[in-house]
Order: sequence, then structure tokens, then C-alpha cells
Amino acid sequence: MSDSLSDALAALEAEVRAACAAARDDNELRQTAARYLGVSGTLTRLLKRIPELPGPERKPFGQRVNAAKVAAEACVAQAHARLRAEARERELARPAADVTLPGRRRKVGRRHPIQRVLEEVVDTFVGLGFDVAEGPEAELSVNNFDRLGFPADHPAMDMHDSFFVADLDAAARVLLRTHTSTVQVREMLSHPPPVRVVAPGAVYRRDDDVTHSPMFFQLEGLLVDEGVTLSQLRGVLEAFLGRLLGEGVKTRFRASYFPFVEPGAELDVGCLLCRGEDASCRVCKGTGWLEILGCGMVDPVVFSNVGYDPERYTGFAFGMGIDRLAMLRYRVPDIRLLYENDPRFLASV
Amino acid sequence: MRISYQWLVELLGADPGVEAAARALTLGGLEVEEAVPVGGLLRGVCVAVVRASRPHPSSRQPLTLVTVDPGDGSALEVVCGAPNVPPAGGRVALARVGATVLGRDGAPFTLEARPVAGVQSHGMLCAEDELGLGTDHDGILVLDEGAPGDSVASLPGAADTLLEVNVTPNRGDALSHLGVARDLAALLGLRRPPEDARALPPVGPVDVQVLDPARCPRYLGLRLEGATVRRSPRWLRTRLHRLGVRPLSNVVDVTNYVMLERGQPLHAFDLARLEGARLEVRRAREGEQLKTLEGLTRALSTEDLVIADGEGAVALAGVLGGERSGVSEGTTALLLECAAFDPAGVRRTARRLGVHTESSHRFERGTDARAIAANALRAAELLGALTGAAITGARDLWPGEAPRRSVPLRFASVGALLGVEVPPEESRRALEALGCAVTEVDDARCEVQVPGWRNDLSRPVDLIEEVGRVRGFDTLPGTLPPTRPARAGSRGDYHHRKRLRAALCALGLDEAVHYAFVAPRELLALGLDPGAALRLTNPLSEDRSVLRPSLLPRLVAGIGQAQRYGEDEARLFELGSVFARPLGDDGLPQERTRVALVLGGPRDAWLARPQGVDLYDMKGLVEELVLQTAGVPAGFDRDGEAPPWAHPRAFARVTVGEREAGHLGALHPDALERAGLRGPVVLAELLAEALTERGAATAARSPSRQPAVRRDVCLALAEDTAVGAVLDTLKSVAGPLCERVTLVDRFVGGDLPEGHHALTFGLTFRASDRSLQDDEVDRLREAAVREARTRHGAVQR
Repeated sequence: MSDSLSDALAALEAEVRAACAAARDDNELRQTAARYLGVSGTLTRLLKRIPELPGPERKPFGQRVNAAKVAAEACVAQAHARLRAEARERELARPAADVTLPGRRRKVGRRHPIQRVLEEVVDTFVGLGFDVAEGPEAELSVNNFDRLGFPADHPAMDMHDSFFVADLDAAARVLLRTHTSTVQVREMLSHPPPVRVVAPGAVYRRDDDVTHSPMFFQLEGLLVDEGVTLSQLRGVLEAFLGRLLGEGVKTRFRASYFPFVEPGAELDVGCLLCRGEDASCRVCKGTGWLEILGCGMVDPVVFSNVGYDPERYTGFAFGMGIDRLAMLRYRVPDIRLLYENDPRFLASV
Repeated sequence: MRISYQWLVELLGADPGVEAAARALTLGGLEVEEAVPVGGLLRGVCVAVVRASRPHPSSRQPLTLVTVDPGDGSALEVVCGAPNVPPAGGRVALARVGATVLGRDGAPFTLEARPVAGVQSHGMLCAEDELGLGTDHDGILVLDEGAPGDSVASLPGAADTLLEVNVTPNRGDALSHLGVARDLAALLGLRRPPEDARALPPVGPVDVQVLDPARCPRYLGLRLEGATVRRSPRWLRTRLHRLGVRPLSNVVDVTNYVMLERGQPLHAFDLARLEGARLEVRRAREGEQLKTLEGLTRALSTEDLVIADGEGAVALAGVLGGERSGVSEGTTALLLECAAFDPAGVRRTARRLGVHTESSHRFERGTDARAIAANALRAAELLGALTGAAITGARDLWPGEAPRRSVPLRFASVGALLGVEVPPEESRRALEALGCAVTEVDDARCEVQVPGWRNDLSRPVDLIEEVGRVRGFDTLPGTLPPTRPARAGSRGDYHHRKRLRAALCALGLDEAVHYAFVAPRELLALGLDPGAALRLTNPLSEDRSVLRPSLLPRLVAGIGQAQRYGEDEARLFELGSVFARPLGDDGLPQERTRVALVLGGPRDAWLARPQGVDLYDMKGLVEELVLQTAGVPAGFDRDGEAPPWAHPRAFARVTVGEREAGHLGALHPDALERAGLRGPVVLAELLAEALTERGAATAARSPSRQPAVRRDVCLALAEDTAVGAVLDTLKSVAGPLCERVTLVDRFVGGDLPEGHHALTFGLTFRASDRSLQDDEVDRLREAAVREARTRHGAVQR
């Protein structure tokens, strides 16, 4: 092998090195690589000449050119790596992303505030061992009143101004239930004791003002067994309130009246806003107490009406207005907002 | 019921303090909603004696300059505009400079020294209303009580605390000061006000008859003669005024006073105006009318009980008096009615006529028939003192006079129901404190005679409540009942709806909750027939008169409301009952729970021109919802009729399993226009029960670890060819090695023939056990394309 060839190859290698080092982007590098290593590149052409050479020259020539080719390829690869690193450097050095541009939001929907509270209340009672029972909203008057022991022509009816459904068989008066206590009746008519259920749902009364909506939500509870007591009623409700509002919530248990319980009672909780310390509190009106639960021992008349033995079984029932709890939790000033479903209101709670 | 705390103190002969009383009553079931001190302003107003008076020297108005002595011997001159300045020696109420009185508008203001028509006035002589003691503004208050210099606040009844007591409908006895005082005595362990056991004096009869003893168990008529009708004294007017009763004349004021004191409504007739000087209690006659005290002529029904004289009805028993026989200024002889009427009968009449009076309110809740004689005599006593009238006749008709009601009680049942140990002695004492007479039968049982004022106590359980009240419910410890496992399979629907709600929220929809009654026009807007829907007999308004047959009308109307506030984007769902005919065997309408979805306005886009939502946004939501909740893919077809609200070109029937679940679609353009909405709006309404989980639980799949091979196919298709069918063809022909076929691109225009589009499908192949060869995949792809050409006329591009 002549020295001249060796020199020429060395020069060529240096040329490749320089060209690779000079390449400013992938394109220039690709052109450089093609110039030397491509199908008709300088080094490729040299390799193609091997068969034309005399026998003894072929091997040393081939080895030398191949070495040059390997070196050239290494150069290209190195340059390629350099260019990538440079590109990465440039990319990293670009101005930072504007994090104040809005994100592409994937909105998750929100349950209605009433349903959020309702589910929480129901789930709490489920945790206390209660089943969930339900009944229709359009209900027979007999289930809404008579079987619950509402006396006919009695002022207790004044609290239950009902919507009646028109055009139906007059013999079976149908109304929109005024309370979820109807489910008590249905549950007891369809199941023998013991019973331990809560019944959530919409109820209807002919009222419409800042604190009364013609439709609202209640949760009714019923526990019937042998030996059920008023103390147990308090115990269960306090366990519920502790889970819903936090242990240590203050309660007040006082006598009251509902036609289908005897004794009748209400369980008040200490004002969640002022804790009884603000005489001008808007939420509790300065009383320090929130009236949220009506309750009592199931009246023996109700047991007789559903075929339970009032001598053997006792039970308690309770009911609460879910809207009021939702209004307290979300500080809703007017109950009607809950049913207008203004998107701006729903987004605020 | 508004209660004067001072009056309670008088009746109890003890002052437990307002707070203690209010707390005890509240815990005992007579909830005190408010305790408002009154008369506090009066401390700066004193009794003064008139020394002299003279007309104002220059004013053209009839002003008087009055010199008064405020009790310290000094002389103050005040200007007074009232016509009734008493002569020297008369006592008046003087508000000095700096005192606060009430203006004509009822708002308090502070007096300043100022000249009136040129004369300096050093205070003001006050009228009743300016002191909050009454309503009178005809002249200044002329006092016949109090010493000069005394604060007006110290006059009887002037300073008080008014308790607003919420009396539940079972406690008619607590609609009086005596009733509240009795309960308070039992609750606080004070001595109960003594029972009034007066009996009628021996006098001549009165011509009174009861023709319907069932509706009028007791009627006592008392004749009083020699009355002078005039204004009541200040203390009585103040008391009535404070309790919300307008003072009228001494006779009427006494009847009201006794009602407030004892809960017994009374009525005074002018005897001279009763035809034949007689009364009968009977049903109203067919066509009979009565002009009542408010001046209205009311048509009566034969269901109504009336008090009638020789001419006709003079009062609606227990509800309202008549105009003809009312007491007026010249009345001298009275017939005082003190009676018991059947509560339900009074209620029916009052409700039918739409009237609610202090009297009907009490009779509806039950009065104490046993106390009638004593109560009548209490009124006569006051009438004698205030009007000079004396009893000259009496008739007490009480045919059914019965012994006190007796209720048996087992001592052990008290503690058993309350859940605490209650010794027999405690039960006995509590019941006696409430006025019961307790007779022990043996160690375990007693008989309890209930006082006449507690009509609500008739069963053992009622007595247990009373013992609990006196002990205090609030003293009961909270205990937990023994646990029992929940009944199997009892929580279906609620928990299903909860899952639905969670899935819908995860899909980005907010929940709406609307009233179940809607406006007929909202149904019409969606092409639904309001006539087919169930109506309410007594809606609050026409806009809330129809039970919704679908959740969509109100949701769509809600979108309209939001659009008026500039909120075009709607992403809502609702889960609620809908109602329809026909009635079931139980007499109730069909009531189903449906879930409705609504999309409106622009699709979510990021810094790009927004596009409106369309059918496929809704289809995507429903596909995911059904898969998440029912656990199977939803089916979509165009079988059957389009719902009236849907765009006839853009709707689908949704099926889950074999079952129709509902529909989805774009809102019909007519409906959009009728509802005044900016489009687009896309809706879906499905039966909630169709989305319950079905079939066996799916088994988990072990995914293949072999590489996937992807082949894309671009096919030109007529636009009316169902793409779903093409997808099915490709999938079935490509065979089990084809894992999925997806639509990745759609192109319209270019060199495509009219009515055609080019769709690019991506086919993903994978074997579970080996790497696939290119050529076997290509063969499957070609076979699929060939079949698509044969079946659907697809041309490969």
C-alpha cells in the first residue's frame, strides 16, 4: 500500500472530522454523511474499487479504507450526538411555559347540594346498621295520614297542606306525600318486625317562601323491635350527629308533638355557626340551638293500623329536613335557590 | 301564643326568672321561640301632676301650655296638642327631654328641648301609643294610678317580657296563661295555681236551649244587667294590646281577657237585641245567612252549628259572633255565653268559611268543659268590677256531665318505654303535679284521673310522655339498641341511583334538582301534551300545575333561564320521578325514576374557536354511562318513533341488553324556537332501572404480551351507509386476530363523489401466543376490504 494512499485517507478522515464538526444541524450532517458514506460517497466508492485491485493489494487496501469508514461513521455518530445535545440545550433554554395560560380543564360534575347532604346522611345511617327503604311520591291519602294516626278534622293537619292529584278515582285520594313517614307505613305493612330502615326522598307541601319550598327533601328513620326505648332514640340520633357533624356536638332533647309518635320529641343541636355565643346569630336566631330532628316513639295506633302487636313491640321514628341541613352547610340564604338550578349557584356550592 | 311573663308570675305567685321559665317550657314541649322585654323605654317617663294650663299665646293650632310637677315640686312647662288635658291635680305621663318615646310610625326617637310655635317645651305629655302601652292616640294618657315622680315603667303591666310560645296542636290547654302557668309549675316544681271551684249563684233561669248536644256538650248562659259600656282601664288595655288583642270596650275586653287567662272563648250578646230574649244552639237551616261581626254576610250550611234567637242565627258557634246582637255603647243587659263545642265541627265550619279566630283556634284544639262555670263566673266578676253589671240569671246545660277520664297505668311501663329506671313514686308525683289524681291499685298499677284541661291524655302512653316531660327528656342518657344485620337485598334503588349519580358526575355533568310539578307551556314547548299529564287539583300556580311526565321540559326551560344570564354552556343531569297514567291496581299513577342528560352551547375547546355540541357528544356520554352502570355496551338504533322533542334526523333509541332504555337526540328546531333557546341543545332521557347492573360479573382478562400490528384502511362510502355496519363487517371478516377496529378519520370533499365521504379505519391485530407475520395480517386486511366493497360498496383509496 502506497504512502500516498495512506496520506490521502488520513486527509480524507480529517476532512470528514472537520465536516462533521462543522455540521450545524441534522440536515447538514446528513449531507456530510452522504458525501462520504452514501451510495456514491467517497469512502463507498473507494471500497467499490477493491475488486479492481491486484490480489495482494486488496486486503491491506480494504482494511485501511474500512478503518477510515468506521472512523467516519463514528464521527457522524458523535456529531449527531453533539447536535442532539445542542438541540436539547436550546430547547431547555427557551422561554418557560406560561403557567398562567388556562389549563385544559376536564370538569368533573358536582352532585346537587341536597343530594350531597342526603347521601351523606343516608350513608351514615347505613353505617349504623339501617337499611334503605323507599316509597312513591304520589301517595294514597290513607298512607300519608290515616294509617299514621292523623285525626280527621284535627289542627295537626294544618302543618301538612297537601297537593292533591286531579282526575283520579275519588275513592282513593291521591296526593303528593307531605312527609317520608309514608314509607314507615309501607315498610311495616310489607315486613314483619324487626324493622330498621331510613327512607330518603322528596316531599311536598303547599308553602312557598324564603324557608319553605313546595318540594323539599326529608329523611325518615324507623326502628321497631322488642324493648326499644326513648333513650335508644336519643343514643342513635346522637351517634348519627356525631358522625355527621363531629364528635362532641351538643344536643338538646325536648318534648314536642307529631301525630304518629307518643312521646314526641325534638333533638336540637348546638348552633354550628355561633356555638350559642352570639345573641344576634342569624342561623340560630340567638337561641344557640338548631332544630333539625323531629322524633318520638311510634304511636301504638300506628302499630295497630299496620298489624303489629303494640303490646309486644315498641319503636322509634325520626325525621329531618335535608334542605335545612344543606342550607346550613352551604350557607344558602333562600331555599328557593336550591331548586332554581342556576349554573352560577350550582358552581358556588 | 303570646304569653305575658308578668301574668304567669301573678298566676304562679312566684317568679322563677324569665330564662329559667323559658328553658323549662321549651324542654317541656312548649317551645319559647322568643322572649322580648317590653316597656324598657318607659323608665325615663314619669307620672306627673298637672298644676295649671293655659292656651298657647300665639299658635293658631289648638295647643295648650301645661305646667306639670314631675314629683319633685318643680314646675315644668310643656306644650301639648291633645284635647284632653286634665284639670289641675290630674295625673299624666311626662317624657322629659332625653327620654325616648315612639313616633307615629312606631320607631323610637329621643326628645329634645325645642320651641313649639315659639314657646320652649321641656318635655312631652304622652299618649298611650307613644309609650307602647296601647293603640290610643286620640289624646294623652290620663292616669288614675301611680304617684307623681314614679316611673311609668313601674305601673302594673307596663314593664313585661313577652314570650312567643309555639303551642303544638295537641296542647289546647296551653293556649292560655293559666295553662302555661300550670305546666310551668309542674316542670319547675312550683305550686300549681289553685283550681277555681266557684259554683253558680242561685238566680233565675235564662231561656237557652241546646238542640245538638253532640256538637255542643255544654252551654252556660249568664244574664248580667246594669252594665255601662265604656273604655277599659289602662292596665287591661295595656295587657290586651301587648298580647296582640285590640282593646274595644270593657265588655268585649273582659271576654278576651278571660280567654287569654283561661283559654275559654266567651261571647257577650246584647240581650236587648236578642229576639225573644232567648237563644238556641242548633244546626243552621237550609239557606240561612249570618252577617258576622266583620260586616260580611255569610251563607251557612246545615253542617254549621249556630247560636240563634227568635229571628235566626246570631253567631257561628265557636267561630264568630254576629253583627246584629253585638255589644255596643248603649248595651246594659248582657247574655254571656260560656260553652264547649265539638272541636272537629268548629274546625270544619271555620275551614269551609275560610275564617280563623282566636275562638275557633281554641275550640279546635279542645277546651276544658269542666271549668265552664268557674270561667263564666270569673268573667262575671270582672264585668261586675268594670261595668257594674250583676248576674240576674243563669242556665247551665250539661247533659253529658261525666266523671273525669280515668286511664290505667302500669308503673313498670314508664321506665320500659323511656329507657331509664323510674320509681312508681316519681310517676305518681309527676302526674299529680300536672293535676292528675292518682289512685294506686296495687304495687304495680294505678288508675289516673286526668284533669279536665288535658283532653290529650287518654292512653297509658300519653301518661308515660307526661312523666318523661316532668323528669325532662333532656336528662335521658343516649343508649344504643342491640345491633342486627341489615336485611338482605333491601337497598337496591337508592344505592343504584347513588352509583348513577357518581358516574354522571365523573362524566362532567352537574346535577340539577327541580320541582316535580311543571308548567303546561313547558311541556308544549317540547311537543308534549299537557292534557295527557296528571294535574294537581290545587297547584300554587299554573306554572306548577302539572306532574312532570318527563324530566326534560324543566331542564330545557332552565337552559333558557341560564341563557338569559349569558350562560350558554349547559352540562346537566337530573335524576327524579316522572308520573304518568294509567293508574295501577293500587290507585296510584305510574311513577318511574328517570335520568336525563342535557348538553348545550360550545364543546370544550382550548384556545380555539369553539364548536357546538352535537349528537355524538351525547352518544359518547350515554355509551360510557351505560357501560359504567349497566356493565354492558349500549345499543343505538332508529327503531320506533322519534320522541316529540327530538330532531327527526338526529335522534337514537337507546337499548341496554334487549331492553329499550330511552332516547337521545338533538332538540327539535321547533322546540328550540318555542323555548326561545340558542342552540345547539342535545338531550337524553333514560329509565334509571334500565341501567341496573345486568348479567354475570365479567371475568378479568389477562392481556396478551405479544406485539400489536396496526393496519389502516381508507374507504370511500356513501354517506347514508351506516358506519356501524361497516365497522361490524371489518371486525367480523378480520376475524379473531383483529383486536379492535376504530374509526380514525373522516374526510369530505376533494375528488369524492357527491354524497360520499372517506373514512379511515384503524385495525389492530394481535395474537395471544405469537408474533404475527406481516403477510397474514395483510391477507386479513384485504379480505376485510373486499367484504366491505361487496356489502357496502366501499371503494378503497
